[in-house]
Amino acid sequence: MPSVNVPITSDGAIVRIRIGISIPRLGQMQRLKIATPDPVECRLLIDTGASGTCLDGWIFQNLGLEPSGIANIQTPSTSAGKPHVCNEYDVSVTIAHDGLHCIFTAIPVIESSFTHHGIDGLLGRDILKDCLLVYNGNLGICTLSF
Amino acid sequence: MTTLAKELETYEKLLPSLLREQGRYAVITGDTLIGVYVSYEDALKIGYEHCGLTPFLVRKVSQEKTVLHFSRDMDVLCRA
Repeated sequence: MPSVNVPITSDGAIVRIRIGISIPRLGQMQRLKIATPDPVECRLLIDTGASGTCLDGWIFQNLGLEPSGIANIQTPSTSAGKPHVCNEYDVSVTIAHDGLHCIFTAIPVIESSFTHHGIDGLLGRDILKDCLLVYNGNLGICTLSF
Repeated sequence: MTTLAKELETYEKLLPSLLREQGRYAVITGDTLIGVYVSYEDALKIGYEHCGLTPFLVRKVSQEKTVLHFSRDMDVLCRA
């Protein structure tokens, strides 16, 4: 399996990921002969405590996307039994390293705001379930194999 | 009206009859069910073919409300 090693910083293990429009949307835009947006490079925190992947809203704006779903989410500050309802967007997610890449062609991701957190989003277990993650605290390195 | 509000209303109205397709993905535009598909990607493909780039809803059919959990607090952007 190809792997990417990221340092474990005071903010956690942050990995560079490319977010693009989903492949079905890409196909439709090509059929309509509409210019397709370039993928966006993002810094995502690897978060095993996140059920799903979340991205900051500027990414969807850059890709010209509108929601294609909703998601109910619960966080530590959410009142029990009253989840937040958030917009969901269909995107593609590419993990790339050294010329090799793994592409998730159509993933529903949630919109949240990470403006003051120094990251662009969270890489959640929806993606991690198809990867091998090794967290080496002694060496300060996290390895994501895909 | 918020994006997809009409579609979500349609989903809730159709849910009793959709439950036989639990676990599959419903594609809805306005008050019309386009179809139900095995995978999320198949549902998107059909949605884009039918609706072009006009927004449509893809929703996993489920009797229970699925809730995603996050152990980290976020500045959540709730739908209006």
